[in-house]
Order: sequence, then structure tokens, then C-alpha cells
Amino acid sequence: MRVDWSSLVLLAAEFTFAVLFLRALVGYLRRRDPLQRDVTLVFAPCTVLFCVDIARRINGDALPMWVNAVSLTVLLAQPYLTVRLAARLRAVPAWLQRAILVTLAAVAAWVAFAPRPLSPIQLFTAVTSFLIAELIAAALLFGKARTRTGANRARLMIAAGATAAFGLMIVLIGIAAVPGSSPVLDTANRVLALICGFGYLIAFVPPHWLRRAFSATAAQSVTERLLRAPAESAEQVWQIYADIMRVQTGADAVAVLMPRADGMLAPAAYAGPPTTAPDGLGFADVTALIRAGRPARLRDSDPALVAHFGDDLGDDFVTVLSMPVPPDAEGAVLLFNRHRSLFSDDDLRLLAALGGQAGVLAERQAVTAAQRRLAAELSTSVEALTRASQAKSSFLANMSHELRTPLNAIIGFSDLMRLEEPDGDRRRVPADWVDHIHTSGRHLLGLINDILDLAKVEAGRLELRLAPLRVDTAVSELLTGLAPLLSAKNLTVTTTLPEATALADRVRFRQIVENLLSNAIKFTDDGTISVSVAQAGDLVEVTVADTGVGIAEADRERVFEEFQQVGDPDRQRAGTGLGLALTKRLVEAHDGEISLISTPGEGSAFTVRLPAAPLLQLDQGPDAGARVLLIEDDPQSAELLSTQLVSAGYHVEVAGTGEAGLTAAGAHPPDAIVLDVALPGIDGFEVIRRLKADPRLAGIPVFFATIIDERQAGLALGADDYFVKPVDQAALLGALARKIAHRPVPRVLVVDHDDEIRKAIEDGLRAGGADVVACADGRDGLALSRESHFDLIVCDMQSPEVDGFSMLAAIEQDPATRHTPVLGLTAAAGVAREPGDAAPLVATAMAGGVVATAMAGGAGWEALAPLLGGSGTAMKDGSAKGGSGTAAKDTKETA
Amino acid sequence: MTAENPRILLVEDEELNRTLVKAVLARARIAAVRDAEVLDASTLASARTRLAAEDVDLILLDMNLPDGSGLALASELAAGTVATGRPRPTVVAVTASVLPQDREAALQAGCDGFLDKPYAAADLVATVAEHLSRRSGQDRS
Repeated sequence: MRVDWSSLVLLAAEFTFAVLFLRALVGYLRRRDPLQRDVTLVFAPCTVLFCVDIARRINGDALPMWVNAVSLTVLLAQPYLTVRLAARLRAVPAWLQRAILVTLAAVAAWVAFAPRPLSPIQLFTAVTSFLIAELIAAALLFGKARTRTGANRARLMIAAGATAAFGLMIVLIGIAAVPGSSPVLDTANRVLALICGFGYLIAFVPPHWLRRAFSATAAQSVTERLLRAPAESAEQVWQIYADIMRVQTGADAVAVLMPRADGMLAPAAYAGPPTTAPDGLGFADVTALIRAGRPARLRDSDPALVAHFGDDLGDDFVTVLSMPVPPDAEGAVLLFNRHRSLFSDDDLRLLAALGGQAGVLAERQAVTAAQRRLAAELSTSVEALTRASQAKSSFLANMSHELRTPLNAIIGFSDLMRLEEPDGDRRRVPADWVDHIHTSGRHLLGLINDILDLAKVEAGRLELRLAPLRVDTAVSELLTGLAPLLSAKNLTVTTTLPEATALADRVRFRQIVENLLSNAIKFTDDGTISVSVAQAGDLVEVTVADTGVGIAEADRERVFEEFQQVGDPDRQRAGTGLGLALTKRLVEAHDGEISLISTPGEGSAFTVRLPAAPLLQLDQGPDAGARVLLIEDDPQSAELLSTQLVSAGYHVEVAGTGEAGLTAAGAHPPDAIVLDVALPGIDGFEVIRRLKADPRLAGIPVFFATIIDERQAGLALGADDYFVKPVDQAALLGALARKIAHRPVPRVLVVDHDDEIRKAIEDGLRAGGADVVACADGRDGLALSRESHFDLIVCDMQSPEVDGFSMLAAIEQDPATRHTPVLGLTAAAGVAREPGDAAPLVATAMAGGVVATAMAGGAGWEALAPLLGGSGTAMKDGSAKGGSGTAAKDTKETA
Repeated sequence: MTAENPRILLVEDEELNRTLVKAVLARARIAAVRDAEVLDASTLASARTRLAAEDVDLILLDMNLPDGSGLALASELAAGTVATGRPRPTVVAVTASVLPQDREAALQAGCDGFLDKPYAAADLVATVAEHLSRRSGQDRS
């Protein structure tokens, strides 16, 4: 029997299209997905066409006219339906869709009921319009395919190819319809139909094995890329996963949601156009979306999702995939698309599942990486510790060696001395032996001091007394001290010392610069040592440069290490090898830095940079005339301290016992008290306790200067600082200056025509710490009071030119001075007021509504002083409360 | 006892220590020590020159020298690479490096004795006397 291959091919093609249609239909009926409906519709015309063809075979050509008309119309609808499907997958201009629809409808209307066979024109028009529409649809699908990757791309390409083949098939059918055409064409178009059918089959309904191959490839690619991406943290892993998913699925945006402790889903990563990240999504809502099992319009879904993504991503599709996160958590992947994705649903599930596992793998990778990093850090720090321990050992060995060397001379020479013949109670020994012992002893002491200082810095126990320090002055003092050394070596010194103030510890600063200077002297045999100071912004630079041996590049770090003397061993110089190490630490303790520039053979320059003193404190010395009460029983100590204080410009009053000190402080509160602890009668601690208990004296700064090292106790009792004897003079003076300077200085205007009384008042006020402006004439006084602000005006009520009362009235009227307290002075009734008279005067503070009686003249005026400093506020308050303009009514006695 | 007075080479960079050693030895009650002739050198290089030129019985060798460690000279002497007239001189390390590993290194280098700094005058004399008498004993035998 002769097999009709052509018919068999046609049958196979027809069967394929029927299968396609039925699969699509079942899919649509099951899920009611609009996209699935469009797919079904694309296959419907083919199915109808082949049904008609089968019917024609059964019934011969005797089909009713309307069947032909319907089948032709349905056939012409197919390209339009394909374009519509493409429009669901990508942007297709509406006019194009409409144009195709209108054209095809017009052609269908024209040819559907035309008598058969169709005229060549009709046939040509129908075939051409069909072909063009089909090619447009194929091009649209092809264009979409190009934007995708992997299996999706392949399937879309095949679909585009099948669509184009379908158009070609219709062309062949059209040609075959022309009478007299070769029957081969008939077979060819049937083969083409079969190819087209298989193409659609592979694209839309791939067999299980093919689908798995597609999925596996996609999944592998995702996993591989995820594992290969260098991730250091779980967050990074999920971000990479989101990025890969976005590329792999062609989604516009991908969000990875992970369960939080409270059961909500929070975004772990997001890839896509900028949008506000959701704070947390109800797991139930997302689960509902997952259950729906297909892409949904964002607007139809969870309001939280819309709120977070909708506005930014537009009216788009969201696909939600459940993503198991081992061991037992469940997250989700959200894919946002402006257009539907035709095939992705199957793959996506697998991708999400794999994503969970790959994520965990990658998280482990991140943990491993972190562990590796930690291990590396650990080994680095172990190495550093080992090095430090070795350095410590070698430091100890070096120290032992360095200490033994001077001790050898001390013990050796003193031993020799003991062996010398005694001459009565003396021994005759060579004088230079004594010198050797002394020199070695000094050297040893220097060494021990350096070591202790180093140890203090190392342990962070170096206490710096930071105060504004005139660097230029300190440097020139040092140079003066070193002059003998310099001239002994015939060295020239050049200096550049402009005014500069650093915030530094005076003693340590001297130590730093002295080390650098003696180093320069030591390593320079002849030539120049130049010292320069510069203030650069908030730094003060001190540079010590020499024209000595210099330091090789390789040694420049090592010179700052302990016991390292670098350079030519033949030319090693005496020294502890600690100087520069200590210098560096001291500089660093000041928050400064030290640097070195050197050319071997030409010299070295060390530069120290220290923080500059804040501008406010510039040139802040002790206030001239500030009073310090020194409570000290030992006459020698008292003399030493008071000499230091007086030479710094303080008035010093000395009290030999605690009780006497308290009495003196009460009678005439000083600006500061310097207090010993061991005193006859009550001790210093009791003195400070009583001082702090007296509100009038509690504000006075107290400094201990004692041999008893009970710093903590002293500070606990309220001392401002604690100095152990021998007292570091600079530190004590610095502390005093700072404390006293910080007290507000009241400005007082004194108006009194009597020169002597005015002078007495002025002196009294100045001793009390006030800034005094004085004048003899009431008119001048008024003018001065308007020019600048005064905290108090003291005026004579009996001034000859302008009497006190008119002056008060004028002060009262002027808004600038209305609130200034005024102390009016008047002789007590019946007592003649004479220059220097110690008789009481009545002081009346009229403007403030306070009338005060004070002692007049000489020492009595000093009683005003406490009113002006801390306790002076009482008076000002009184004046403020009293308001303005009220006449003096109240009378108060003050001591 | 040899006819000549013993000769001691003092290798020490610190002048103070050289003065000290000489003063101590000169005042020793032991005649052999007191009469010893003390030569000195402040570097390894000058020590080598001295050893090449003169006969020396005992070297008092500091370890921390400006041009290297005294250990180097001690090993050279032990290996016989330094030209000396008489039998190899006795080497006593005199150093402030007194840790066990320093002592070990000195003995390894071929030092015959060890004297820690700081030393008492009597220790120095005793050490010198001991090594000189041991040496003269060897000479006689």
C-alpha cells in the first residue's frame, strides 16, 4: 500500500495544534489567567482551521459556504491574536494593534463571502495582509526574546520562529491555491505546518524532560553565580541573589523577603528601580498571594505591597514565590514586572527553592570568610603580642645591662676607696675617683628617671599638667641652661623664636626639648644647631636641627626605639639610648607628634608638633595682685612657697596653723588657699572641710602642697589640685593662674573727690579681685558709666561738683545704667569725714533699694571685696528685685 | 712563675672602666696581679692589632664594643685565627650582660671565665689571679 506521507504530515500537524489548543485551554480553565486565555486564543484559529480541513476530507469539498467564510475569518484573526499576546508580554503601540485589527477585518469582510475560488487579487491581498501581521507578531516576540536570558529566551525565540513559519505556511497555501501549482507545494506547506506546530509545542508546552533541562540550567546558573559572588555578610548574599534573579527572570524588580522574629516578612534585599523599601509585610498576605499561584496585578494584591511598591513601579504585575530557608524558615521572593512573563512560572518555583538553599550556602560562605578574617586578625595580633613580648624581654636585658654599667664604676671606685689607707676617720683617695662615682651616679639616676618615665607613659599613668605654655620663653631658658655645653663644643646656635603658646606640661616640655638639644649637641662636633618655634594654626612646632652626623634612612624609625643607638658603631656616643624613645612618648602623650628629617653626614632635624593653647587662654598669667593664703607651719616651706608665689605676682598671707588660716580666710577671703596637711592643731583635711562647709568660703580654690601623698583624699574633700612636696613650682603656679583667672572679674566704677579715700577704695577693691575705674568728678563718673558696663558703681554722696543724689537720679534715668547697683558713701552722722578716716561711713545702695552700711576707709573697705566676687551676686540680686525708682527704705547692716 | 711579668690585655670601650681596672689591679695584694702589665684596647680592631704585636696571657674582654661583640674576638682566638705569639691567651668575659643566655653564648664562643659587672674590686683581683696562676701552672707542666 502506498503511504500518503503528505497526508500523514498534515495529520501530525493537525494533531499537534489540537494538543496545543487543548493544553492551553485546560491551563486557562484551571487558572483563569488572562495570559493563558490569549495563548488559547492564538491556537484556536489553527484548531478551527484543521477541524474544517478534517471535515472537508470526510465530506469532500461539499462544505457549506458559511463554513468556508468562518474558517477564513478565523484564520485572518490568528495574526491579530498573536500580536495581542505579544502586547501582554511587552509594550506594543495601541495604534499598531488597531491598524492590524482593522486591516485584517477589512480583508476578512471582503474575501469571506467572495465566490470560490478567490480571485488572484483577493488571494494576494488576504495572504499578504496575513503574512505581514504574522511577521509583525513574530518580530515583537523576537524583540522580547532578546531582552531575556536562558530558557525563556530560547522559548520566546522558538515561538517567534513558529509564528513566522505560520505566516510562511499561509503563503504556501495561497500559492498552492493558484490552479496548476505543483502538488509538492501542498506537501511543503504541510511540513511547514508540522514544524510550526512542533515549534509552538516546544515553546508553550515543552515536554517534561525539556522543561526540567531548562529549569536545571537556570537554577544552576543562579546557584553558581551566587556562590561565586564574593559575599562577606548574609545581607550581601541576599542582595546578590536578588540581582541575579532579576537578570535571570528578566523581572523589572526583585525583592527578597525574609521572616523576622515577629513573624512578619521584611525585605532582605531589593534589586530594581529605586523605591521605598517596605518595613514589614504581613506573612499571611504574602502567603495568600503565593497560594494564588500566578502573577497578579499589584493593585489587586496586598495593600502593604501596593503601598510600598505600587506607586514606584506602576500598575504592574507581581509574582510571589515562596522561598524555603533551611532549616525551617520560609521567606518569599517578589518579582515585579511591567509586563507578563510568558513562561517563567515553572522555573521560578525551582529558582526560589534553590535560592533558599544557595542563600544558606552563601551565608555559610560568608561566615567562613568572616572566620578566616578573624583567624588572620588573631594570628596578626598573636604575632604582634609575640613581638611585644620579645621587645619586653630585650628591653629588660638591655635595661639590666645599662644599669649595671654605671653601677660598675660606682661600686668599683668606692671599693677602691675602701681599700685606701685610713688616715684617722678619713681616707686619702684620688679626687677623680670621687668624680667618677658622682658622674656614674648621675648617669644612673638619669637612666632610672627615664625608665620610670617610659614605664609611666607605657602604663598610661603619666599625669600631664597641661597649661598654656610660652614655648619661645621655655626654649630660650633651656638654651641658657645648656650654654656651657654648647660653648664647650664650640657650637653655634641660631634661634627663631616668635611668640607661641602651646598647651603643654611645662616640665615635660622642657624634658622633650632638652632631650632633642642634648642629642643635637652630642652628635654634632662642630657646626650649628638651630632651634625654631612656629605657630601654625592649632599646632605649635619646635624644630631642633643640627649639622651633625645625621641618621641613615633605614634607622629613622629605630632611633625612637628604646636602647637603640644607630649609626656607625665606631662613633657611638654616650647616652642611655632612652632619650628619643622617651621624647617620642612624651610628645605623643601631649597628643602631638615628632618627625625627623635627616641626611647622613649633613645633619638631622627633629620637629615636635604640639597642640596650641586655645586662644582664650593666651597670655593668661596670674592676675596681678590676686591674694593667696598660705597655710603652712614649717617656716622654711612657707618661705619657699611664698617666695615663689610673690615672684609670680601674688599677694601672699601666711598662716601657721589651721585655725589661724580659717580666721584669716574668714576675715578677708583670699582668691586661693595653698594648704599643708600636717599642721599643729587641726590638720589640713579638717581645714578644707571647714572651708567647704562655709558658704562664704566654699568657692575659694584650695590647693594642697604637702609631703603627705594623699591625693585622692585631698581631691575628695574638694581641693582643686594636690601637690606633693617638693612642689613643682610651675605646675602650682599654672593651676593657681587657671583657677583665679576663671573667676569673673567684677568691674567697679569709683567716684570720689577725695584722692586718698578714692585710692583706698581702689586698692581695697583691686585686692578683692575687681577691675576698678576711678575718677574724682561726678560728671566724669556719669560719662564713664554710660560709656561702658560696670557691675557696681561706688560714689561719694558729697561730691562738690555734682552731688551724689543728682548723680543717682541721672544713673536711674539712663536705661543703660538703671540696673547697675550703686553704693553711695556718706559720713556717719556726726563724724567728720577726713582723708584716711577709719570712722564708719554709711553706704547706701539706693538704686537697688538696698541701703547698706559699710566700714569706710582703709582696710575697712576690703569688706566690700567679698560682695563683688562670688558672693557679690547677693547685692546685684537685691538691686534687681528692688526694681527701679523706689526710694531707699530698707536699711541693712553688713559687716 | 715565668721570668717576665704576666701581661693582661684589657678590651673595654669605657674609659672609666679602664681606669678602674688598672687602679684595682695596681693595688692588688697578690704580687702576680699587682705586677702584671696591663695593655688596653677600646675596640675589637685595636685589640686584634695589639694581639698581633704583643704577647698576652690574659684578656679581660668586654662584650659590648663599639665595633662589634667581644664574642667575635673570643671565637677567633678559640679557632686560632688570630695570630698570637704565645699559647692562646686566657679569655675572661667582663660584661654587664649577665643573663643566662649571655653567659652561655660567652662560654660557647670559647671564653675561659666570666666576670659580671658590676664587680667588687676583690672579685676582679681574684678572677685575674685565678686565671693567671692556672696559666702559669700550665706553663710549668
